[in-house]
Amino acid sequence: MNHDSTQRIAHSFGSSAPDCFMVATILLVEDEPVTRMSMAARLKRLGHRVLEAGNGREALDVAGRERPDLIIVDWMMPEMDGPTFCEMVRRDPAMKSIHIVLMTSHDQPAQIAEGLARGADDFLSKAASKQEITARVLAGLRTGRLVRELETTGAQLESSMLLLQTKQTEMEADLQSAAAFVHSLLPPPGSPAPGFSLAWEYQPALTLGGDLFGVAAIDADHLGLYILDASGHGVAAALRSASLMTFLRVENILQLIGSYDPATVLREANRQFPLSAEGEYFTLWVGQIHLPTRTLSYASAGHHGVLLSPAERPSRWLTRPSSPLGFDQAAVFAGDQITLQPADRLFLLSDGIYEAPSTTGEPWGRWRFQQAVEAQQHVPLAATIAHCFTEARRWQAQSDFLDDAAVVGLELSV
Amino acid sequence: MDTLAVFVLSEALDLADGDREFFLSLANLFLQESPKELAAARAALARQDCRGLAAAAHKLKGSVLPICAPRLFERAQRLELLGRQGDCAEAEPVCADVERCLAEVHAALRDVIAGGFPS
Amino acid sequence: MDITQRAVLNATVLDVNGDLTYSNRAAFKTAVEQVKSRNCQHLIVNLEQVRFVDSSGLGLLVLMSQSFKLQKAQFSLLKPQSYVREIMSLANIPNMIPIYETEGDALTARAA
Repeated sequence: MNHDSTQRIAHSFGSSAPDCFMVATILLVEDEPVTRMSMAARLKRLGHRVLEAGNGREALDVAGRERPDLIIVDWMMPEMDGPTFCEMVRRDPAMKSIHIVLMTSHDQPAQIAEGLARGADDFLSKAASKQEITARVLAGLRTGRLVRELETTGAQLESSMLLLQTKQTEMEADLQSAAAFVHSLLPPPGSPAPGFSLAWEYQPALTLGGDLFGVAAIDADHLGLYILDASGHGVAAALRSASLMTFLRVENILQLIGSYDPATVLREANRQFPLSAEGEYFTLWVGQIHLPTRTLSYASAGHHGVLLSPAERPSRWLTRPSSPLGFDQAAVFAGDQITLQPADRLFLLSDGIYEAPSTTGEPWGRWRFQQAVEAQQHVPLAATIAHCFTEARRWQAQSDFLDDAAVVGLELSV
Repeated sequence: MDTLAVFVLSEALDLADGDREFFLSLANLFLQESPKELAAARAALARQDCRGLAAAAHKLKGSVLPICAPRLFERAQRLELLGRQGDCAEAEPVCADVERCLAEVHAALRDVIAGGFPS
Repeated sequence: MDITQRAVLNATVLDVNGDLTYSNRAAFKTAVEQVKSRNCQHLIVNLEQVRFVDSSGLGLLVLMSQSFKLQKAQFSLLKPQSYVREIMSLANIPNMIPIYETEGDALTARAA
């Protein structure tokens, strides 16, 4: 056993560190005491904290514990030589990026190659001048610092990714519950009022859709209905829609304006939902049916997706040019009235269905929807709506819609 | 043949950045350690262990560098080379030479330690 | 989308080339706000080379015209293509934002 292996590890701090670089911790591994003392003194004079080890095993311990910025190791040592030490360090994930300088009197290219292959970063001759030693150590420290910065950045990225994934999972859970809430507000299919039947299909592009609709009894004599569309995309649009949907609940509107008169509802909504700071807004169509007379009053704020499809006559769109909500604070929304006939069908649809683009980018179009509906006048309402979705999907040659796709059908009994 | 100096104090001091006290510590360590390497070389030679001879000579050679003793360095280097070449017979006289040179260096270092540095 | 800016008399013209949609609204907004911050008295947005304006683009045009109004400055649109013109008409845009067929019309309308 070599007597040097029992040598204590000496910690020492330099007294005057030059300003041009930070104090680094350097591990010096050398079995020969005179060389080690001489080299350690030089490194300390450069201002570094120097750890010393007399053999490779001891050095591995110290390196694992202290994570030095740089290791200078002698090539020729008993038991574990310098290249073997390099290999051991490179195998340890916690130490593998420490910069290692191999001290040697070898200067044959083959030996240098062997040193590099086995994990050394640089070489230093034992007979090197003090200027050369200083330069090599500085270069080694600089490289080591760069590598560490890169690794830290990588680790930060990784932890940011993890955090992001966790956040995303949380957000998706939140969205799911928001969507469940919103969907609980959508009208149940069936009969919303005597003599009327309701069917709909809804394919939100996201978990939570930005196009929403409602059909609900206002009082014994009135049935209210609306469809809204938020401009923009994504969760922000969907959340704004949910808030307009809440505003449009019958109890809220009756409390606020005393009736569900469509033009008045729009005027109030226009006041309460200005353009967002990003220029986002809603289009909204509101209708109210007086059940005893089957009179439909309606008004639109820039929404053009309501079609009246009578049993024996051509269908027509119930709309006129109008400002979307928030465009014009002074906007006046014109109310229209029609009398519904037995077997009339009313379709409320989102632009996601008629703007569904073909592979060449051409939208399916409102007139194709119109054709599909007219051709299906005599099949049950739910089947007509299903047919519209089938046609739109065929047109866009894919099952999922880019935007929220909704078709709501309301039919008067014969 | 021995044109090489035994010991160059000025260079050794320069290597120590002029730190005399440090140099004295280094010299004392050399006085203490180098006989061990010489003994190791002798022992290796006695058992015809050429590799052991080369290792001991290499170590001694390394320790001579910071002391700046060119003649001893050259002899130690020669001894290491013979060890590597497996030429133990040829190494015998060189080893004796190393021993003599080492004694010279020891004497010179003791002078410096005892008598102080020339001003 | 490409936006180039030029000064004509006492107005600034933004020549927009490409679609004005959700995905490039930020670039358009930045360009307009840059003009606005220089106290421009009349901004003319030239839509001649714009094939498509989606709902976000429409909202942005209205938002920008509202902010010019607040600053007592004028915001005009120039030569929208037929599809864009139809979308604008359906949303009552001509009632809020003056639309002109020639740059000269836009400039003299301001002077009058």
